[in-house]
Amino acid sequence: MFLLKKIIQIYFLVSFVLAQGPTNSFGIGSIQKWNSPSQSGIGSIGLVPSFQNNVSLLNPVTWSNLKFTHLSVSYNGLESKIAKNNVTNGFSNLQSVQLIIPVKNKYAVGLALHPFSYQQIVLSDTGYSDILAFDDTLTFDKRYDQSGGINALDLSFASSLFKGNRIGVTFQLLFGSSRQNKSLIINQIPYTQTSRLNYSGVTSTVFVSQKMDFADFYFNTSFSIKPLAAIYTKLYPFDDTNNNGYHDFTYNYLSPGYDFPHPDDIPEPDESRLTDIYDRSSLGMGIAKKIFSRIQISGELQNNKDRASFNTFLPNNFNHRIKNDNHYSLGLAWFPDDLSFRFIDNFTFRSGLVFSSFTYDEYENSSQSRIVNKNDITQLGYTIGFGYKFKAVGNQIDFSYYSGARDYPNMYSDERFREFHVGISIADIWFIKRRQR
Amino acid sequence: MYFTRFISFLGLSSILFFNVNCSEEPIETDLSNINQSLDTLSLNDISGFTYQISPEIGSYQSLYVGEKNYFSFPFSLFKFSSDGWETFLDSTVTIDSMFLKLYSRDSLISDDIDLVLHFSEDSVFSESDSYMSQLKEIDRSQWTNLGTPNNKIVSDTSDTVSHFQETILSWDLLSLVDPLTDTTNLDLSRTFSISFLENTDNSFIELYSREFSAGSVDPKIEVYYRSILSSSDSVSLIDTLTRIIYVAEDLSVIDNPEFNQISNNTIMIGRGRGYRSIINIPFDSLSLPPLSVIRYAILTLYQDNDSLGSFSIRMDPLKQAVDSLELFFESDPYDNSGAYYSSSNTSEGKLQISLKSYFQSLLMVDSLINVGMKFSSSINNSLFDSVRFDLGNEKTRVDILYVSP
Repeated sequence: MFLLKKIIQIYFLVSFVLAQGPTNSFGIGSIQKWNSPSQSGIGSIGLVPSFQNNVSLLNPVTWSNLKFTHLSVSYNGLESKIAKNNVTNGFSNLQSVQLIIPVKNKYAVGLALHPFSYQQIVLSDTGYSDILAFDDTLTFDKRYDQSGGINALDLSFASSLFKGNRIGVTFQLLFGSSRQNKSLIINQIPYTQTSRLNYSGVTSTVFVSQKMDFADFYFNTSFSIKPLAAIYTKLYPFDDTNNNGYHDFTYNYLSPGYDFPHPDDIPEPDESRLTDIYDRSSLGMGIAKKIFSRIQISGELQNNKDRASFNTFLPNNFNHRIKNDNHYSLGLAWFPDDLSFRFIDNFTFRSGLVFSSFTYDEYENSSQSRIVNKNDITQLGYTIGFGYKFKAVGNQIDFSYYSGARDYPNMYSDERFREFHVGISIADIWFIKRRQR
Repeated sequence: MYFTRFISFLGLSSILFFNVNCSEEPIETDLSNINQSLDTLSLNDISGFTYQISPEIGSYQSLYVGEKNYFSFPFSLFKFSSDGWETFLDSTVTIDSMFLKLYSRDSLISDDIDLVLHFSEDSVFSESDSYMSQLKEIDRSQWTNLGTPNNKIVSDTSDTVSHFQETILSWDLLSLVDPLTDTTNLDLSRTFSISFLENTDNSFIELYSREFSAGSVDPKIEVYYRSILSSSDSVSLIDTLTRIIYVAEDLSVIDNPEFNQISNNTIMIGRGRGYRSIINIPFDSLSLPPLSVIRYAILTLYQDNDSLGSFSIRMDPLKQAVDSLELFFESDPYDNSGAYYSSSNTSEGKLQISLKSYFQSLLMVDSLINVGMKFSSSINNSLFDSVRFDLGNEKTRVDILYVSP
């Protein structure tokens, strides 16, 4: 058991890398859609129950239906393929760590830590002609790469209001940093401008559920308490002669020479505070209906808007930004029978269909402003998954698989991706005052 | 229970599988909205002037006496330190002989060369601090004349054919034992000079200076002495020893006439004459867009027809401007900034020297102001060489290739 714990620790330590896909370069990056395999198993936005009967790990108003405190850890892997460019990228990372404490079947408190957005990307533009300067022929390309992203710490509370009605709230503290390199590569030597963004922001989401005779209804709405801002640190550009991506003074035999100017000679970094980077408002609703006592069919829709102007000084301001997105999903879940001792009755089976559309704006050089593009990015996919409940307290391990395609009009060719999620939830009776022996 | 273990193993294995399959390939896209650009700048309005200082030749690897190529070296000076002489005060020590030895690579030095050695107990010069105008005024009439040298040619005879190695010029110093070994007088200096006799025309000799090697051909004094180790009525045990004392300072005194005014569009650089030049190029922190990085900045100067083929030149940015119309100085009034210097050799009738580091610093450092650059001869050039550049040449310019954000 000790060995198993160690292996898990090492996995998490070495595996926290971020994603690579075209949307990672848009705005604040690609926002993590799912926090657990149970949620992704039915393609849910997190409102309707998917983890266990009447429980969604992302919806605090459902947590009081849990009998025990749960500690959940999820991990995901993604493969993205842009067929036309023959580019395949893969990544894996820790999806979330979450602690949920139900209190007397009426209240619930939760704490979660998870990535909020991924910004890992390497963009390249090699479509430039050679130029002549002082009788030298120079080749040049452009490259933009960034890494890092934004993390979120969620603090959630929920309570029953009256019979069949519950309300909850999640405060989401956004934090994290990313690093950007803009490069003009002249004769294989990049002129690189490096910058860093240290993000901070707070958003909140209010959840409401209402049980009706024919179905259960779920609503949520999000808004920014403190829109995402960042400390922007712009470093002096340099010739990355040794081609290692850093401004240093080390010699590389494969790319001889030293970076110029010397790192000790450059002026202090230029620091400024950028506001109005991301100002979220969203509205979502879901409906879940039980049929044959253990089967649930559900439908959800959600609209997200980014009301921020997207500060013009942001290093990726030249790129697109998701301005508005809509998500629609249909899910089917078959939950375990808590009273049965049959092996097969410990399983949860899930499946779903997901459709999303994204409206984006882009920077236009001629007008020096952002113009909303009328052609939406669309995404369609399906999910399947299963979970297995073990031990009396309801420990659970879940798997899910998602396959989808994203269509970028006039930008990239179709992106096809596959995701795999695995998560484990450990349940126990915590915070109970034991009787003295 | 077994199924729980199996499914847990499956979960962990899938994590590992996805972890090792991570990849990061660049995605090709249009990045024309990134405004980084490559551009060029040529500067043609280049001006300069030449000034002359007292030649700084103390650290040169050769010493000269006589006249050559219109250069006149009246004498060379040597100074030995006070250390190492106390051994000879011991009553058990008897000095048998003492020689001053100088070395030359010239195999044709005649045995009756009129090169005269003089000795003085005064400290008449400092290799690093004395100016030529001061040294030229030294009155050596009161110095002790030690005569002309004995010459000896040293050859390498390890092969069947002997090869010339060096000529040794030595003077007997036995008459100077008392003043040289007197360590009680702290003011005593051990200064020598060599010069040709007056009325000796067209004589010239080149000797190795202390900067040439690590000792073997340095100017030196060799002392041969006996030391009585133990003595009894019947037997004395005597050891025969040699002590070598190397020169502490040496330099050649050069007669340096002031140069004739040269045309406005021409600059000269030479070590033996002390020619240095200041070049002004109109470049400052506003010459390029903010955050620009210079890929190269090359100044090209073209030589006059009579200039040399290869000559090493050093560029030093000036620390501050000098408000003076003078062109002749004892010491160089134009202080170097101490950084951003560069050097290059003339080749094919032109000099191409990089100003990249200096110009980049002008862009980055607010307090740094371009008040001109000093061009001087490298230490490796011959004293007798100088180079002349025509700033009026229409191709004289600075080519700058830079990238701006």
